[in-house]
Order: sequence, then structure tokens, then C-alpha cells
Amino acid sequence: MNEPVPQKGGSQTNHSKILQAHHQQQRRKHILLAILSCLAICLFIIDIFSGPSNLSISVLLNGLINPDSLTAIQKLIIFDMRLPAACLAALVGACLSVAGVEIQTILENPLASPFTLGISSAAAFGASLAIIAGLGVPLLSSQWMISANAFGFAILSMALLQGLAKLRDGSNQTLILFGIAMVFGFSALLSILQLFASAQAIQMIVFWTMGSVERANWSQVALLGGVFFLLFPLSIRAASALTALRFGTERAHALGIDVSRLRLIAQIRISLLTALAVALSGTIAFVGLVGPHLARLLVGENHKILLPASALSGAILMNSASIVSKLILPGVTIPIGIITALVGVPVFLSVILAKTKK
Amino acid sequence: MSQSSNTKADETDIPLLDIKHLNAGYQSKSILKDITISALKAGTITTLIGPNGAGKSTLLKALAGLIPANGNIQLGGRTLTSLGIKDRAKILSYLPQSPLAELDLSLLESLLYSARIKNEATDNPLIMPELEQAALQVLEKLDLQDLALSNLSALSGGQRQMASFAQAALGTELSGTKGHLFMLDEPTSALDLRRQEQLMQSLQTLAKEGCIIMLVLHDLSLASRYSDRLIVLDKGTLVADGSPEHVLTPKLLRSLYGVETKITRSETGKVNMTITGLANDQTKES
Repeated sequence: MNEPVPQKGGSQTNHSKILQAHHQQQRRKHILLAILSCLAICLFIIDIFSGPSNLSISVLLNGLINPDSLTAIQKLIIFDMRLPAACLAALVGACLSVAGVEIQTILENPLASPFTLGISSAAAFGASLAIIAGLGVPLLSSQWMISANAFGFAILSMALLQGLAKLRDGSNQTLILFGIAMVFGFSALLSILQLFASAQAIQMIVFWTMGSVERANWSQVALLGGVFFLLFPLSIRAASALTALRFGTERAHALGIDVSRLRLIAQIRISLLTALAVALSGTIAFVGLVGPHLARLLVGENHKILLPASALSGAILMNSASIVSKLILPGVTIPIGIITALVGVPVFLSVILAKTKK
Repeated sequence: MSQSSNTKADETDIPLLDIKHLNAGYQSKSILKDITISALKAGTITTLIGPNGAGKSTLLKALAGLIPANGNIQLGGRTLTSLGIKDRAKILSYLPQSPLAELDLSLLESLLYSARIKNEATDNPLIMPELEQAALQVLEKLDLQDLALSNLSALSGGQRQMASFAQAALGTELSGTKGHLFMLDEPTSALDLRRQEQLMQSLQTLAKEGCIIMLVLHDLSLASRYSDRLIVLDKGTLVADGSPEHVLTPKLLRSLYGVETKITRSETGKVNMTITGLANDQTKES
């Protein structure tokens, strides 16, 4: 902010120059974070605007500020459909993306995503089980049954994975290998289910595994939002330790960090975030891999900034995908999970190419 | 207590590292067998030498608490094996052999990060501007100022090794150098000649400030010039222990590495070593 003040020695001036440039570097990252926030808010609002019913922007804006100006149907569309869907999209994006950063850091593997360890496969199996069995349960809301079952299986698979990894050395390699085994195991179980399921159930299973936020409701938003805003501060509190872990396990340990504890607690956070996001929206591909990478490319490895940046880029990706999913075919909403991959891949490639050119 | 009181008089103020009957290794395989190293003194540099696979890195890892170890290890009067991770970090620093990853984090940022965490483990934590000053001073001493704002991913292998050393050296200084154990695993392996000298000289300075320095080197001439004591390991056991002048003999080097050497001594008593060729296999076997 101030001009460098020349001080006694040459080295002192040099120091203050370096410090000034360092602080400027840090400020630039915070500005990037602010820009990401603005972008996330803009896309969130556009997501609410876009959709099949012809609501003009002015009516919508007016309605958001003053709900009484809307007709009952308009109110229903905005407050019971569009708004919860946009919220759920943003939250799912944020959850998966934060889980993605953490899992990449603790497994020291840039190719890891929240789905690497089989959480999504287990959830899909759980959901399918509920779809097949739940078709005949009249008293329970089937949507909640499906979510609860998906969540239960996801958490169960993570507990199983931890136990199995402990039996051996508990190293990252072991964890990833067992995780891959989980993915294949649950996929095979899912195939068996599909083999014996009715055509209607198969259709529901396929739709569920594609991932969608279309039928979001406020209680889902409250649940996922509650869990996210409960866990995110804990991630931020671990940010220094997570950054230090990027220096390598041995260095982090030598600095006084209990690495195995850090890993375990991060895995519990990752499991909860991923399991719940998947349980509520299905297996939405790619966000948990692309979100973290976009954020890393933009702000670097400092997890204090990287974690929020990642949450924001996840939300941005999901809201953009949601907008596209409503616009591609008039009158038809394509499952968002298909779009995240379709939109995510070119965005991802272009960012990486731009970065390498520089 | 009462038994040791008579010997205590002349050593009261010098913190020591004492290793007795240390056994260590990995899950299935034990590597170090009954290692006893007595009285590594504050203010001295001790270098571990020996062929590949001798157990040098394992010894450092065992002391750093990275692998399970049995035995009695005393550092400054405290039993090392009974300390938790954080308490250990207060009294020792460790620079691993593995290279620092190519991260999108500036050298200064990485220094501040590791310093902040090490700092949390110390009894008198510094505040941020003081940390920044300390970091900049370390960078200046090591002639790394020009790289302060470069990302680690943009540095060369040697520069990153120097960066890694800067991290560890800063951590050591923050912990209070008196009696602090600073262990380095092949810190000079990727450095050019000037950087090697810089690093070793800054270790000398840290030793003068009261550190106990223990490092692994393969460069025997560098080791003999800077070390007060050489400890020779081979196949997990201690083979020799003493001053470079006493330890480095053609016979030992032949049996250790299977090379023929010519050793001369300069007027100051420093060792000059020339390798003249491979020893024939029979001598290495016997």
C-alpha cells in the first residue's frame, strides 16, 4: 500500500520490497476469491431465471424482493422449484468440490476425486436397493427412503474401507487400491440388482445415477446446507495442516502435525459431504475433480484460500450446468450429471491448455 | 541421580543426545540392530556415512518418530520415544531426503507456512510480522532472496532442495537453537558446489548457536571437512565412531565401499582422500 521506505541497511530495503510484493501476491489471490464469489452469485441468479415457464426477468427480480407481487403459480415456481433447485445445485457443487480438494491433498494424488474410494458406487447401490424394494412401501416418502439408503451404504462402505486399510499398512496406496475394489464391487452388485429389477425400476435407477437437482425441496437444501456449513469451518481450521501436508508426509510430521489423525478426520468430512451430496442428487460426475483443479490453477496451494475457492468453483460449475441443462432442449431438463461432464470437460481442458501456454 | 552427580559437574550445560540399544525398522524387516551412540554434544556436527542401505536414513527416521523404534533415546534429558508428535517437533527438526514437491506456492509462502506450524509447537510463538522477518533473514543468509516470490514449481531441483533446507533451518531457529537436534538426510545431494558450501556453513553457524547437528552425507570430503564426528553404519550396525581423522582409513573404506583410496593429511590435520580404483572383490568379501 505504501511506498517502500528506504531504511538503514540495503538488506532492510530489500526485505521490505520483497514483503510488499509478497503481500500484493496474497491480495491478488483474495481479489480472485472475491471475483469467484461474484461469479457464483451471478450464475446462481441466472440459474433461477432460466427454465421452461416464461417468467420475465423483471417479474422474477421483483418477486424475489417482494413476493406478494407474484401470482400463486409464479410463487410456486420460484420459491418451491427454482430456488431450492439452484440452492441444491450450488451446495452439491460446493460439497463435492471441497471433498475433492481434501481427498486430493490427503491421498497426495491429483487424480483422486470424492468418488475414487467408491462412495458414489456404494450410494448408487444403496439407492437402487431402495428403489427396487421401496416401490412397495407406501407410508414412507420414497425420495427420502432412497436418499437415506444411499447415504447409509456410502457411510458403511467408508467404514469398511477404513477397517480394511487398517488391516494392512493403512497407506495411501492401500486405501486407493481398496477403494477401486469397492467401486468394482458395488458396480457388480448394482448390475445384479438391475438384472432382476422391473423395467420401471431400472428406468428410475438409471435416472438416479445420472444425477439431478430438479426435484429439490427445501428440507433437502436445509439438510445439505446445514452439514456443509457445519463441516466447512472445520476444513478451514485444518487448512494450515493440509497445506503443510502438501510438503510431504515426513515434513508435515516433522513440523509437529499428527498426519494419520489429520487424514482420518479429513476422510470423515469427505465421506459425510460426498455421501450426503450423492444421496440427495445422485452421482454427479466430474465436479469433484474439476472444481478442485480449477481452484488450484487459479489460487494455488494455500488451502486457506484454496478451500473456499474450490467451494465457489464447484458451485459455479453446478449452477452453469444447471442453466445449460434447462436450455439445451426446450421443455426438457436433461439430468445435470450429464451436463457437468459435457460442460466440465471443455472448460477443464481449456483452462489447463491456457495455463501451460503461459 | 546421585550416582551421576560427580560426572555432572563438567557437562551440566551441554545438552546431549544419547542413543542406547536402538532397534528400528519397518513392519516386516528390522534394519537397525542394537545401535548405541553416546553423547552427541550441542555445538557439534555429526555425519552418518556408509554404503546404500546401511540404515543411515532409518536412524534419522527412527529419531524423528516416523518409524517405530525400541531402545533408550535421551535428548536433553528427555526420553524421546515417550514424546508425542508435537513435543518431539519442539526439540528436533528433520529434513527428509525426499524432494519438496513442485507446488504452486511461493518460496516465501512455503517458508511462512511451515514456520507458522512449527511456531505453534514452540513455547514462545512469534507473531506474523516477526515470522516474516525471520523468514526473510533465512532467505538472505542462504542467498535465496531473488527466489522468494517464485513458485516452488518454477524452481530447479537444486533450488528446491535449498528451499527445503531453508524451511527446516527456519523451523530450527524458531524452536530455539540451544540443544535442538537438527537432522538432515542427504541435504546436499542436488546442490552445486557453492550451494553445498553455503549449506554446510549455515549448519556450522547453527551448531555454534547450540544445535546438535546430525546429517547423512555421501560426499566424504565434504563430511570430513565439516564434521566433528563421523559415525559409520554398515548393514544396520555401527562400524566406527570418531573424528574424521581417526575413522577414515583406506582399510575401512575398502571394506565399506569396495574402493581403493589414498588418504593424506594436510598440516591442519584435515583429511584428503583420493579414490584410486575399485578394490578387487575378494578384499570386499573379507
